[in-house]
Amino acid sequence: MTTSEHSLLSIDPPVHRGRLAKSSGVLILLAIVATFPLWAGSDYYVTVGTLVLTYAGLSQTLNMVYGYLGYMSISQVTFWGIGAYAAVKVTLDWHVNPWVGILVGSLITAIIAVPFGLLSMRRSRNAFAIVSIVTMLFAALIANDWQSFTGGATGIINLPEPNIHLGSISITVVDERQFYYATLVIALAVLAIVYLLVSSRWGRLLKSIKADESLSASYGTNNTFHKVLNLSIAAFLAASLGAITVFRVTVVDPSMINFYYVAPILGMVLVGGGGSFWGVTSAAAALTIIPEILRMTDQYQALFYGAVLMIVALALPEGVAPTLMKRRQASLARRSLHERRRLEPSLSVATSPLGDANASASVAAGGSPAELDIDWSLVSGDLQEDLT
Amino acid sequence: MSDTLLEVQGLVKRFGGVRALDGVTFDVPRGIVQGLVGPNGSGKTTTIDCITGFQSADGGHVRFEGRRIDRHAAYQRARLGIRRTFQTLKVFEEMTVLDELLLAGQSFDEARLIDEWLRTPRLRRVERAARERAVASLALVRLEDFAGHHVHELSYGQRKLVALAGALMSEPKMLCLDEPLAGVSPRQVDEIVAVVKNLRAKGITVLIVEHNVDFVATVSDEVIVMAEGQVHTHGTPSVLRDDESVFEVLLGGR
Repeated sequence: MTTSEHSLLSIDPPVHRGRLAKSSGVLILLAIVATFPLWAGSDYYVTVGTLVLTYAGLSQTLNMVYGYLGYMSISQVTFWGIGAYAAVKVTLDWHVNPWVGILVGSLITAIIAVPFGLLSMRRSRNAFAIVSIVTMLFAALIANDWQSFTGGATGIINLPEPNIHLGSISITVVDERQFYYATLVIALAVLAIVYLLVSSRWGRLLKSIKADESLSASYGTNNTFHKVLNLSIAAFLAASLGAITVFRVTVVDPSMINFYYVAPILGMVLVGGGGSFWGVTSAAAALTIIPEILRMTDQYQALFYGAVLMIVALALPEGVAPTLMKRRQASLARRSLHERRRLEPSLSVATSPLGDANASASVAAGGSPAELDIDWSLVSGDLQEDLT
Repeated sequence: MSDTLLEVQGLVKRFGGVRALDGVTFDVPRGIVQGLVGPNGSGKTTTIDCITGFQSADGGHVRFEGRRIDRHAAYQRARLGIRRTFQTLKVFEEMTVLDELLLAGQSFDEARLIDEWLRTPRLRRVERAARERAVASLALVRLEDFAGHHVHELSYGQRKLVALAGALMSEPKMLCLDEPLAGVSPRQVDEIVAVVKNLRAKGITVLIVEHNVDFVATVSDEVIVMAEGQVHTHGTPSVLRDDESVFEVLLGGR
């Protein structure tokens, strides 16, 4: 498939210079996270690494619901807690491997999210935010007070190790390094699924619902269906992260369903920029690691965190990544305009991707590919902003 | 009557104590351009909202191709072939014109969610067809040169045309235009006249709400004059010129 065909016929960003850089960047990043426990030194660093992975995944599930769909969801933490409890209950009561428990527990959470979404997402976004806060308090109440089912305030302790036995292969998951890898598997799966979904044509649909629900309804979109589906998938993913977390700390108690987790993931989405996959991922890493460094300064930690949130809210209300993206686009547009003026005669073919389809023929017939190249960067920038 | 596309019968809509619609009844035959005029507050937009499902009527019913649709959600009516544009322009400003149109047609093509998520060959095929349709829709409103532009880069009038082209992405049976001329420069009026005639030629039934009486008289096959939530007169465009009482209604007299 030629470059021009690609951009014309697919919704993926067309192949361009930035893409190679991006994919090699992802590969390097993968290599770093995959080998991290080998060169991290102490267990403490490995634990911080595990936290980065967990928060990256969890904030990304909030990004799905808030960043892409526009529904402020405190309930991501509720789902993460419900997933943790459900996974433990399934594992202990059914006497199955914790990994089966994690999968089934996450499915249960996804199912619970459906009636919750149907009830709360039909009305206004404010109503949803309020309902999601109330639901969280309610879930925390159940965790605390339903002694016989949840273990009450002390929770359920001495959780089994999520060891893996596949035929003759046995993998123990006991120490910090092993749990880092267990978390890595789940977090990478979460990130990959979120990326696949939000960068698809469906992601474009979510963004349209976020922008204007009556307009998307006039386009034939069943808003409620897509909103609830999105919430349910996000609930599944958050639940799986909550579940692996409690097996790591070997206890599940009501502290899992707590505002304590809301502030960081909300901060990550706001700082990174809701609706920006890489922005939120980077913010998750930064906002997990920096407070750990500041832990030495003890009383300044909260102060710093608050300062960061305030600066971002005031200076970059859209978040860091969208602001940078806009700047880059503006500069590309300026450059492109500049080039276009220089190449005035080719203006008519280089103004639109559809024009480019026709133009590709003229290139094949001896036209200069340089003029098209300028246009690709513009077009791909556009698509990319829409998709990521 | 077999060639009736839309039947509106006894439509009632109350806002608090105000009866915005007070028993609106009319038929729209298939394939015509139906004008809907009346002074501010006479219930024109509310009528369109009740037909397209953006408001639910308190009484009466709406039939489309003989089946009742007044309990259908807005998106279901869109899928049955009733598309609309809005009085205050609604488009997704941040998208490119092409993406806007693809989105407008997305719910109507045969790609399933799983195709969208996994980028199956079926999705590629469907998207290819959708792009061809987008080009055709843009050609219909004469904006084919702007596919790669962001919607917000276009003039207000052009954006109105993008909204119209979006509504055409699913090959609707009926198109409801809510004040297509509002905010459009006088130069573009002729263009919109041409577009509406184009739609009619393609066999699309058009329902137009508009204040510009000359425009309605030019493009419509039939005209409904509304006053105080009721149908005042229903006839050919000539009533707009010849009927004394219509004249008074439109000028706000009693």
